[in-house]
Amino acid sequence: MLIVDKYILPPSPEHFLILKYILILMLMIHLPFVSMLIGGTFFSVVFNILDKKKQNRIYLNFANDLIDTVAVNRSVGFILGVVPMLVVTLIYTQILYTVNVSAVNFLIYSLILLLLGFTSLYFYKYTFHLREAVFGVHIFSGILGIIFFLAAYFIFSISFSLLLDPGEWRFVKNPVELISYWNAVSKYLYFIVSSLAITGGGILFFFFHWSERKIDHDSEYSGFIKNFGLILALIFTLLQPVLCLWNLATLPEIAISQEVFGFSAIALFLSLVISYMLCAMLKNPEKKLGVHIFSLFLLTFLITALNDQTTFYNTIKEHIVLMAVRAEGLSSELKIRELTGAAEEAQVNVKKGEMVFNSICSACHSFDRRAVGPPFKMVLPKYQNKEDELKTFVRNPSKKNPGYPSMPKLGLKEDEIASVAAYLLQRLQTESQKQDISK
Amino acid sequence: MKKHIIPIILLGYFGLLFLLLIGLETYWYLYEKPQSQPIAFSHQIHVLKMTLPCDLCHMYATKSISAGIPSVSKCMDCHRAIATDKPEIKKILKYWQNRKPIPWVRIHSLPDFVYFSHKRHLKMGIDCSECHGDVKAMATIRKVRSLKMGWCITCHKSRSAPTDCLTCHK
Repeated sequence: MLIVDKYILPPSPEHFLILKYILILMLMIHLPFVSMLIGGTFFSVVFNILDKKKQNRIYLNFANDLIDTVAVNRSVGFILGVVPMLVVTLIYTQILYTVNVSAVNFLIYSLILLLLGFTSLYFYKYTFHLREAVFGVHIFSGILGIIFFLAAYFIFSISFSLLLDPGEWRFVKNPVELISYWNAVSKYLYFIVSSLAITGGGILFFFFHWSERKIDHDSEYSGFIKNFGLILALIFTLLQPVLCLWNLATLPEIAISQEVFGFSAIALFLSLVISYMLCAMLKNPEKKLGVHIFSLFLLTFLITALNDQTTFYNTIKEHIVLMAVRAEGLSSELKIRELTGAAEEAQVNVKKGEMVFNSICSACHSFDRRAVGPPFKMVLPKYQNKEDELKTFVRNPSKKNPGYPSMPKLGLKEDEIASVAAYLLQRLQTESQKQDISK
Repeated sequence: MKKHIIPIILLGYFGLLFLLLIGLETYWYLYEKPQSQPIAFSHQIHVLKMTLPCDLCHMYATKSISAGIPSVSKCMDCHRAIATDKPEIKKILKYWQNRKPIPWVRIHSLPDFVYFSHKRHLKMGIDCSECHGDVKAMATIRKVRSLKMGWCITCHKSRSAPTDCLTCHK
């Protein structure tokens, strides 16, 4: 899939579990921040333009305060915006080791767009005091930032959607091909709606609880912000569960499990509680529920991240098993090498043959008694000093003994056939030596 | 009444959405949830661990349109001697003694109006996993491809295979 595959070791099931929780943690750090960034920048640009047209002091102050609040500064943008996304991309690269899917490449495109988005956005933020002189460039950088962000998360959402449908992995080579894919569309719209909802919740929290100094002396301004935050949060909180259900209805069968319905029910319940609190605040603006509302929004993000990762892990169940086998094979090979010393290649081969014998052949064969197949001491002597003939038989078995069912063609690799043949002939030698001594 | 209008509207709206969620879950539970099988047969043990090839048990796959489910006697070929003390193997023995087939639950099924030949696809070198996924890693068999027409067509197109209606709808 990717060039980095050759530098990565196959992950074990425990490793998969750790990666899942790191992923959830990274998404929990990243998505609420970037969602507010997108929503905040969008409304900052809108109110900035409105002020230019209507010369309204409140619009201008709000545009400035909003971008200051959501973008914080470049270091925070880098730590909460870029680093987690980089980690998420690396984790997916590790999880999808050897899987032929373009989603990780898409995540890299998304990361590049994200970097461009941050550059434009901070340009917008830091040119705010120069807006009168360079208004066109200033607004353009804000709009460009939003476009880059929307494109980055469009690719991010559809890549994730693609990961949930292995039937499409081989065919999709370009993110645009997924535009008509309902699950991808619903995921993206869910992201946009959640971004706008948490922006409303963020306004209520950051302007009224985190730092009140900007608004405490101006009741007209604070009333405007509170109303705007409340209405914005309420409209999109009410839309959120509809998209959550749409996303659930379009999920591929393979991704669904009982837990997914459980998480969706919790998300629905959280939306209900948030909506109720928002309505209570709209009715009585004196109520101070901003902290609760914002915390519940963060909890909704956590539930969504858990839900998404559960669907993903449901999809890659078989991949996890296959990787466990590879990881186990690798660790036993390393163990054998440690025991025998790297130089003794032949010994390593025989040891490997013993492992193949124990895990595969021994189900039907024993050395000295009849099982499904004949005992080895009866059939092996004819292959003494004829290792190649034995390998040919193991590779392509044919019926030889009428008293036994025919041996199936096993899916052994060439090196496994060679090592098991070497092991069997060496064992035959050892067993006959033992018999000679006992005689 | 006027005082409670907002909570009532909210409860009505979210109640409707909860009903929809329950509807989706019921549909999934009835039609999509992987069904349990009469015997806990594991492809993981037989294919991944023992490396048995698919056509050892699904012996008609290379010769006919159906891959075929192995008969009880096919299971008994090996299990007369292997793992005879395990409870799941004892169940096979019971079917064998009662001369009854094992009532496996079908997971991969296509509508009657679709003509699909295993033989033709295998002849073209298509691996079983393309349509059935990594069955060897499944402890319980499950459907991992939609097996819907759009998916078939995408694959046919990618391999320049015929996409004429008559190819699959005889």
